[in-house]
Amino acid sequence: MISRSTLALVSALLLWPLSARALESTFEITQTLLLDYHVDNSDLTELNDNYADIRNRLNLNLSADDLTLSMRFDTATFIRSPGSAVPPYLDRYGLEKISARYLGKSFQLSLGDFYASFGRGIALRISKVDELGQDMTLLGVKTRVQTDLVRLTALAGLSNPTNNDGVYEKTLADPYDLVTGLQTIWYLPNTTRLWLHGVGIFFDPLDLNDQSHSLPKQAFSAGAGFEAPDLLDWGNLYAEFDWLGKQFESVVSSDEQLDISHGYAVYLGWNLFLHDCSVLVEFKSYDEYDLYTWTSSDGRKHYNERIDYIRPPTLEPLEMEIANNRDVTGAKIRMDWRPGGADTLLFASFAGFVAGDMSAGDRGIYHVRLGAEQNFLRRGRAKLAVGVREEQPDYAGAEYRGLFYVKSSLKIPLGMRHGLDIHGFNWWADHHNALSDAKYLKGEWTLGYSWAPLLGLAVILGYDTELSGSRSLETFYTTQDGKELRQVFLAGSLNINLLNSGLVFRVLAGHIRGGIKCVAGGCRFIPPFSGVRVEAVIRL
Amino acid sequence: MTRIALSLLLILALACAGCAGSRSGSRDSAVGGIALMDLKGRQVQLQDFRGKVVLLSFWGSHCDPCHLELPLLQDLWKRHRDRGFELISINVDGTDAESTVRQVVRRYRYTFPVLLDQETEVVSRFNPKLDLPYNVLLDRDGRVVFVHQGYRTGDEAKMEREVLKLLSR
Repeated sequence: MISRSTLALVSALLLWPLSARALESTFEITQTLLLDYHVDNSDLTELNDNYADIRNRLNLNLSADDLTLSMRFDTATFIRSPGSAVPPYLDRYGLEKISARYLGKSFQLSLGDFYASFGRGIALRISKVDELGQDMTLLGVKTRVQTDLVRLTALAGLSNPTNNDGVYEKTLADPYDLVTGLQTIWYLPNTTRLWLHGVGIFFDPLDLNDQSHSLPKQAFSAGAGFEAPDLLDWGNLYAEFDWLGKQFESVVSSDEQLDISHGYAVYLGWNLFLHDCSVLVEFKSYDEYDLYTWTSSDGRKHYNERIDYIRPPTLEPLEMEIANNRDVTGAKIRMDWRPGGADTLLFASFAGFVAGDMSAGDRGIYHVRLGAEQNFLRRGRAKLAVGVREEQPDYAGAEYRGLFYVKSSLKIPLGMRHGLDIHGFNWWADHHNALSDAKYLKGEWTLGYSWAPLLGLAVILGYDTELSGSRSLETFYTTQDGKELRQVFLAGSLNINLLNSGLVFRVLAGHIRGGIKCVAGGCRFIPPFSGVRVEAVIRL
Repeated sequence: MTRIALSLLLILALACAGCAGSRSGSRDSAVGGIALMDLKGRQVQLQDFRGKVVLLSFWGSHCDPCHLELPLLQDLWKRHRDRGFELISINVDGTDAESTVRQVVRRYRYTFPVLLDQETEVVSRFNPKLDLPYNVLLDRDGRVVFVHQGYRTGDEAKMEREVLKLLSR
């Protein structure tokens, strides 16, 4: 197994000739320091309250000609962290990512940590996902050869998530999966492209992950795609098909027989550009199509977390809570119209899906969104969108979710250097099944003032009454066992930008709403934050 | 422990290299061999823009401040491109949103080059925190001379001053 220390040594050796020709190099440092003090966030548990943490991230980047060396060191120090928290908050100091890259015109080589993506992220998408506090790389080798006619990419590496979890601040162990991939793209006339790709994932081949019992032994995917990015200048067309096979240890047979499951994914995207209009039509059909791992809990010292290897398009806005993107078929059409090419934009979208759901059977989903945008005073803009989204069951008594929402923003320039900004959203949601009936609110509104380029001030009001199942905006909801759950959140923030963004300070104090965040079907519950957060970013 | 020792060794090596070749004394381009695909599917080498003052503007389709700033940067680009100023925007949405990116570009009538950082390799190098919008201004030799994160009303005036300073050199 290639350890990070070995890679550090190899990279240091690679660095040696680079240092010798140092006069031709550039060196960049990004240093981010986060100081948090957590008070009681009233989320029904005391195991994440009344402690401080100091987290630091140091990114170093050295480049010369086509060579780049990058490193990232993370530290996390906890002060008075709750001793009974399971898993515990663990201090951590270490090298998080390291890579050496050669990026030539026809040949590229990455050694160490790298991101990877095939097609539209349906076959493979190893990336940073800020919304979920995840930053996954592969630790290994990626190489790419490119000519005018063909591009070949080959990769192999061990999955390497950032070990300081960005959401829960607990330590994540590595899942120890081996990921391999191969892609060939052929360039045809008129910038049209055709490609084939294949991915093989070997889950925990060294038997180090105590969560591997819930994972396949191995998974393979193969796919093909086609793209015409410039169809006579009036649009583009994209099509991709992928097959996924997963092999599990048999739960029936005692010998080493493997059960095999199959899934497939089809995605089509079509942009059509007319005079003042643009239309986007997308279609997806995913059947038993997901590919993820669990990080090791390692004797409950580490937090175990699902991390996805793929991110297929959902066709819906990022803020929607879409938990099922593995068994779903449907399409979306979105139209933008800017009459006369002027300052007004009107838009409308409609999406309809049939989604399989293990607990409630097939269900129909529709989502309609209408909106308008108006520019004014050259740097001002008002935007309003309203939408309805429903998930309807196909038999009586099953679950129903309904959502009506408003999303808006208003940016008002005040003279040459000042500005006022109001933006936010509100959800009126219904959620009911045979056992419960809940109507609740979710929303967040920000009022901000800015003085360019130095200063930004904001007040943030959030609310979430989902657990109380009521639309009453009371600050706290008292549960049946007498615990208080915060439903209304108020915070203030200050942002100071000094030395041409070379030094940025951010201070946040108060209560910030948490909730479910979903990206391409992978969801995490983000806990609310109460306390003070100071962030300092230095760029050199 | 070994890992920490090796890490320190590497930091030292980096620091030595960095001290010897600090940004201000550098003769070399910061863009190195970076190549990204544009919306027409063509590979674009950032080194090909050497000799021009280049503004790299990182943006995302869901980033409202980005779409307030980019039209203003487009105005700046139109006014000064004849003097050797190039605006190159780099979208960091990722592959799953590529069709949406194309529609957003059309929606706001962006005519400057739009490159796709599909594997977030480039944004991770210049802007590892992924702050958006994020601007990196390069001089005619490809060296980074100015960076700016976020957009506040009036930031474009500061950017124009920096661009004019470089164009007049």
